[in-house]
Amino acid sequence: METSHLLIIDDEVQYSELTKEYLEMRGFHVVLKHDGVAGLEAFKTTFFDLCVLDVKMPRKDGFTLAQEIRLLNEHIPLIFLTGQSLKEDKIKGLMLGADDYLTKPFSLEELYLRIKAILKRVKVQEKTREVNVFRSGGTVFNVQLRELQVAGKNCKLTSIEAKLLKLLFENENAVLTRESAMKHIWGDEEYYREYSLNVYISKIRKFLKEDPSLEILNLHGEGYKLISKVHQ
Amino acid sequence: MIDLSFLTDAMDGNVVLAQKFLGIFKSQAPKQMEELKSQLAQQDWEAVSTTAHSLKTQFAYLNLTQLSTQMEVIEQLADNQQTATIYSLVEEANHNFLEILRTELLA
Repeated sequence: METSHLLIIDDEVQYSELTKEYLEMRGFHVVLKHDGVAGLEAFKTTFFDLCVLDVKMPRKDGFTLAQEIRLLNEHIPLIFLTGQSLKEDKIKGLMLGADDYLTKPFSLEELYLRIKAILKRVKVQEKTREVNVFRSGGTVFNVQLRELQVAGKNCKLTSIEAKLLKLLFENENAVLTRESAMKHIWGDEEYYREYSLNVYISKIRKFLKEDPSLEILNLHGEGYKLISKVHQ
Repeated sequence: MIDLSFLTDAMDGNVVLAQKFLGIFKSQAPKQMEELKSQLAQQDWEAVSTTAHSLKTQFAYLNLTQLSTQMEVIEQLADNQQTATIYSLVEEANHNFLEILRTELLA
């Protein structure tokens, strides 16, 4: 089974190491940050399956952070951790689209089970719909809307750019041959398309340059390979 | 009284993690109590709130409910800058904490 990647942001530096240690023992890959600013930076550059956010933190509180994360990725599951048992805080968290809410002191097993349940639910939802959104590192690509978001910046793609990027993502870390790309995009493999293909690849490279985790390689005589350094 | 069974349950029965928690608590909490007093002297209410918030949770994991409740009240008073009773509360909490430290943690 593929390891799920979690981002935990909690200002309790030493205690949160115990949470990380426990969740890693249960098979997750965990990145731990201790304030909202560092947490947001990590979120922009790495792909995560779920975020666990402490509410009361210096520099940027968990609620503000959740709003900023949601702007980058509206589907990422969020769990809030809080020392507050205030009803208003729970409501605020849920209004921000939190998938769950745990009040300290909480049991590590309960946190694990809740994470597992949310990830299971998300996977079922993803299986039941066609993949229209690709995510990797700090990049989100919505095929249907032809919208590309790289490190928090949005741009709209043309129809051909979107088709090409979709093909690259579908063949992530594998070879996309020039013939296959041309056939999918233009329906033929005419030689004069090759120049256009190069131009579109260059444009997509420019779009992705702000995300260091993604790179398009030229494979001489073969085609292209979209390399994702996330999860490697 | 410190209840380690509550902490061990919270750590999913993992005694090693519970012992690590206790080790962190023993080194961190006394320093934070000292910081709390100095933050109070400087009337740095944001820092008082942050420190009380942290201590509240640590005490709760050890099932030290009275101290946890005291920290919760201190945090709320600091957040609302209602400072009339906060000094005596911190003094009382510090006294309770030192007693627990002396009789249960350092014994």
